[in-house]
Amino acid sequence: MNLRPFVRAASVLAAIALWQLVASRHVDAHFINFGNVPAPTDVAHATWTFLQSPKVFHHFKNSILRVFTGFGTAAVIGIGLGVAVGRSKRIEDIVLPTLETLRPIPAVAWIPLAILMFPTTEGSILFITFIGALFPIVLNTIHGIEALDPRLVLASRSLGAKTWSVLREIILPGALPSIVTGLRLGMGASWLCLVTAEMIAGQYGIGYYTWESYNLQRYPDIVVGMFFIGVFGMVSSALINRLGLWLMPWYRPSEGTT
Amino acid sequence: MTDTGARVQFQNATLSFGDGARRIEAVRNLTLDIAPGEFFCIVGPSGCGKSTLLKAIAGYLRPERGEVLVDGRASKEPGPDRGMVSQQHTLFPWRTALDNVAFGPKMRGVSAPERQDAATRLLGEMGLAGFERSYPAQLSGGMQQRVEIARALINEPKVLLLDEPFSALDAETRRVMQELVLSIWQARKLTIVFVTHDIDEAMFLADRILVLSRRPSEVRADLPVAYERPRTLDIAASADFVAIKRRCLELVREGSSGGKFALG
Repeated sequence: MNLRPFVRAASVLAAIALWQLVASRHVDAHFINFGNVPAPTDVAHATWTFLQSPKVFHHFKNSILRVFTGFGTAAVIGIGLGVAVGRSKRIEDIVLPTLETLRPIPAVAWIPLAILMFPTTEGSILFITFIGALFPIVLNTIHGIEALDPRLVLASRSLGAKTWSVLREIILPGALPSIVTGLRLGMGASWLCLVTAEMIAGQYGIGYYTWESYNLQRYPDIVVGMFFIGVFGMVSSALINRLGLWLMPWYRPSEGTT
Repeated sequence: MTDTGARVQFQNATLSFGDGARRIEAVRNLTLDIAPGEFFCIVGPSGCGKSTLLKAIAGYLRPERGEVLVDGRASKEPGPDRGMVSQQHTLFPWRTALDNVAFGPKMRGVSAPERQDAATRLLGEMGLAGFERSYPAQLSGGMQQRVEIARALINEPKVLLLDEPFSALDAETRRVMQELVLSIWQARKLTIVFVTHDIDEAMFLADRILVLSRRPSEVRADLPVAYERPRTLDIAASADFVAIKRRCLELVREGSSGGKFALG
């Protein structure tokens, strides 16, 4: 009999039990203090209350719409820019140095400037989620196109493909595994940036809710917010994986397919 | 189906590849006339300009000097009238075997049902019925080459260019594939230019064998192979087969050692 699933389940339960213990006993070890940490039972109760409150819809809707807009824009611009840079040395020389200069700046470092640049906080939050997703998408798209076997392009031309067909039939599908990797990384970055931006500048949204709970000293709600941030991150990355499987039935990295 | 294959000519052609200081002259001053419908094999030491010759016919590269003509027209661009099959397959990994074969007709604007019918028929002819929905990575090396050949043939090329197409296959599969190419050639009457480093293979297949020297390649010999077809493995035992083969081996060896004036 395989014991591993039981060991794994027991590990999670033990962690929750430990959390319950230190939180309910208000353990204070001086360098770390659990005095204000809500216990799992409090969090469960707060989650139930939160899900029944009328605000829950607004928070979820705002966060999801922001990620969709910021990430979606980054996907369109990022893939377009990546294809252009990957296919044209001229465009690469014009665009890539600027991108490479801006790339080391973490997207969240843009927050103060974004607040100054955009008339609405909504605009600045969208900008941050956009910037977070843009770089992984552009760079992975470029990589995918440059790594494409040039013999495939030649083969397609000797079978009668012209410029646009080569792009549609060879370049894009050939770069797709790399593009999907870029989208996956971009989606992760987008959520990270969204939550941070909402905490600083937001109104509504799951990151805002988490930070507001801290300010209002509703400590169990902080953990409720953290929980849903995790859930949304997980669901969005699962969606991208699904998209990848659907777009690339031929691509199974575990089988060594390229 | 083509009525007759294309005539392929090299007129004082010099072929180079690479850029700038790293530009390498692969073939020098080549003049050659391949008759329509001829089965033409090119052998030579590895690293000589064998593949470059095929690329010039395919229109992948243009001659630095001289001309490469297919049916009297300079071959400047790749095109479906010249089918190319190389050692490492160039099937599109994201397309099934069927959609790989149907690619040429798709580029010509043939409707989906029509091109899929044609591709299914051709895959059947290649002995691949039942593998239409497989992706290239799911096929064996021999099957991949069959799909690659079918993908070129569906365009009804007037010349088929094969660049060491079977050298990565095991001996048994190679033998079967050679028979397949011969039957295609006989049924379709197209011109075949076949590059190989295997002299037995060339002698089994060719009407004519061109032996090239080391780079920059020049013609060492242009040997007619006059055996009756269909040929069997028995020809390998005949005295003149051994004589021609020895001659070829000597020429190739001279070419590769660089000893242009060495005695065979």
